[in-house]
Amino acid sequence: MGKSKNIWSILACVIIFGFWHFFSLLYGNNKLPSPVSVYKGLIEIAVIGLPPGNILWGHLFASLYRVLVGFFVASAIAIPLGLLMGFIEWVRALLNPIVETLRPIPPLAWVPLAILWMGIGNPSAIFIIGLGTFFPVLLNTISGVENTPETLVETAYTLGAKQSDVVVKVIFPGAFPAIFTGLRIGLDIGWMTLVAAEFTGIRSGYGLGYMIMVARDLQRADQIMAGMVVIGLLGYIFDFTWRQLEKRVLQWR
Amino acid sequence: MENIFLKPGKWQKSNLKFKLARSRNYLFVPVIFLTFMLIFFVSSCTKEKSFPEKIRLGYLQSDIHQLPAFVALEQGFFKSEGLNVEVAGVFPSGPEEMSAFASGDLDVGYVGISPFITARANGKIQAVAVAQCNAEGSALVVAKKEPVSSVPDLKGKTVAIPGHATVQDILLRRLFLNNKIDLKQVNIIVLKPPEMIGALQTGQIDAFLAWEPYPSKAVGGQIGRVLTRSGQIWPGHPCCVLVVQEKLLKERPQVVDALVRAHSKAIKFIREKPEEAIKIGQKYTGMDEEIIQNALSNVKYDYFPDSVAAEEYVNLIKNLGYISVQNEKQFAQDMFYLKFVEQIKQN
Amino acid sequence: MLELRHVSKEFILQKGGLLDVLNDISLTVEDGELVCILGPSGCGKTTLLRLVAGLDFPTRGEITVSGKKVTRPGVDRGLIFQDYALFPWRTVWGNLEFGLEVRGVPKKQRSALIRHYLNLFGLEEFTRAYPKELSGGMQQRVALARTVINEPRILLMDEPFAALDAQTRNDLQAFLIKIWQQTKKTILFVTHNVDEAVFLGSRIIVMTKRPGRIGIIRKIEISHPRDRTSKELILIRRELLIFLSSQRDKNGE
Repeated sequence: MGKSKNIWSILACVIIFGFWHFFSLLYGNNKLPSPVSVYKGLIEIAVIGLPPGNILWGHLFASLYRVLVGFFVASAIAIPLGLLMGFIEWVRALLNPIVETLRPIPPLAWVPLAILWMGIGNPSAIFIIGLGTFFPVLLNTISGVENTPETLVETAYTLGAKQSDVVVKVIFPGAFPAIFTGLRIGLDIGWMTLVAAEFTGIRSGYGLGYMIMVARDLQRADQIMAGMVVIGLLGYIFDFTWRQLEKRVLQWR
Repeated sequence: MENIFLKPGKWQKSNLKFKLARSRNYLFVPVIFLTFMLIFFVSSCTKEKSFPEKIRLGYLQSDIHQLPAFVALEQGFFKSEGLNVEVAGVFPSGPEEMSAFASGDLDVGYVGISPFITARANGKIQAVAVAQCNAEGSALVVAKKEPVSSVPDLKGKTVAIPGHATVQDILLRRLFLNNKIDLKQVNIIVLKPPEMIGALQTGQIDAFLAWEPYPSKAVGGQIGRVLTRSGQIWPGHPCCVLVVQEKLLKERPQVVDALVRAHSKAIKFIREKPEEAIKIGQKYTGMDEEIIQNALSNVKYDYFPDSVAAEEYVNLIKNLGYISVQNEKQFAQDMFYLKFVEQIKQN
Repeated sequence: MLELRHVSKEFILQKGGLLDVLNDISLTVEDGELVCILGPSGCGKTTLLRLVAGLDFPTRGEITVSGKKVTRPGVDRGLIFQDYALFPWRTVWGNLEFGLEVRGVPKKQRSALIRHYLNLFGLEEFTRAYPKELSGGMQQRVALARTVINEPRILLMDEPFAALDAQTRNDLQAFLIKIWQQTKKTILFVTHNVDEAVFLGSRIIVMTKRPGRIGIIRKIEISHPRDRTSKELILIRRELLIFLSSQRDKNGE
């Protein structure tokens, strides 16, 4: 089963690369760079840098830093808030309209305000990435709390649990699978907002989104795609690691 | 028609041809042929003094360098040349305008020579410059309270440019090169010109290098002072050019001829009637008369390009590692098409 | 001693109006009694149990345990649900530990207690297992152990064996009797299964259809272990079944 699955994914990769190459020939390498020239562009970024001097690893770590900090800060706020909103009726009644109003606003729309409040540089970018992460984590936490069976809560009370015990020892672990999913989606969206967050006002000259913007300025489609490939791969690696972690942490499911 | 796509086993070239020829629907070949003929016919019919097809024009947001574009639009110079010019895009920076060029959304554009060179050298656009727009016209502005009195004082400071491979980017790097400052000692960041003044005011950046009228506006608003003008960095450096798609030039050279004429008329107008030109500049940038007046004193409008300086640009951009061209001299020659400006010059 | 005095319960319906669920129930359960509450579905027997557990409040009347009025859930009344309500993220050990944990029993004592009860309930080999790894019967055993370890005076059981297959149910009934005899708990056992009630109960309270009242009270003074096929039990069964079917007939009118 596992082996044939692998064969299929390899086949799919070959087909996708084949199509990619084919369309690249069709539309010209300048409009759609071929896999080979994207690879060359990537090597160029790794060796020479983009803009020359700012090499790939610097961009990678700068982005990694922003995404992870944004992700942790947002989660640290969203999870407790989600627990409260899921558990305490009046907190939800109070905050739900605000959340539902802010949620559909794309993080990108916050960019000008973020720069006004926090200036150019990491705080703004982290804020934007954090916004992308925040809502999936919050909403999943709330629904996780809602979906914790009521009998578990009642059982806990009859076993002598206090309200705080119920939150910490029943609601939180009960909502944990949903929270975990929320965190995964949040991390994904964090990566998605990264480029937008780094398009404006990066102080250090490093960041994958910034790198893509420079490639655009220099009219290097191959390096734009190289940047996309790097972000895609990073996202994949994170997702994969997360799933492995999920298997381990949530083995009781 | 037989569905050949459902038989992946028979995907061979000869087979495909064979199938197509034998397909029952052989009518579509002459239909396509006729359509092409018709398009050809229609397009060759319009070789007259009036050019009814829309010409899609792009320029940069609030860039006083491109005043000739604003004047030609306002004074109807395009129209009087029989052109139907439509503004199809206003861009925050040159590289973005070049991306629109690459996708074929623009026929003609006013843009900095540097993004043009970069886009052309990296194979993104098939376009040539048919006239120059201006020389000089940018300035390096430092925050008023900043204790910077000379270029070396910028070490360790943050300086904003409108984008990589913009004229201002090249100017700044040339300035540092001239002053023997290592580029690593200065923090160069990218900001859109409209955001620069605010960033300077709040201390998020220490200096910026931008096109007029932003330097004059920063000065007028008591926010910054000019450290050096681009004319001092590189006397007479080319700046904006008028770029057209090669396809347009090849297929309808008369249209390009008319464009260049309208453009030169606009430049003449700016020279002869500066007060009226300033009013038009005010309208397109939304800035005060005084600021525009100051800004204009910093810009030299000239439709005829300086090919020696242009070649130097290519060299600079190549040395920065933004482009790789084999023969800079040849490249610099090929990127211009000067027949029309030469005609105007002779008259 | 558990006392219910003139207990009535009405629910406010969402579409308006009141639903009479329990009507004037008075009942005294002596310490160490095993009382089965038998009734047609929807007669409010589960509600009755929840009132005793303190998870809900009577509209009229009052409930006392050893003279103390019931106002909220307490460790003196352990509740067991039909769906076991085990904490899925805790192992068998962890589930048993929950009550001790929230009551602040020191760690050393906890281990000794848990070991004792694992042994008593025949769960030693499942110590590290998660609930999902256990059969339904085993899960209910764990739920029972988790409640009994808390040393409640009264065990409240809400159709605890209804979801199990017949053989497992019989085993667990016998097991419950064993535990009851060993620990001398007071048990209030809700069921709709006549056989079960007759096999277990020292007293059977049959309720009427909604609004639930006490229909008949039947004492059974046959000692355990009882023979399910003995003549006496069959007679009692018939008596109860006749009453229940009369309740169904009324429903049909």
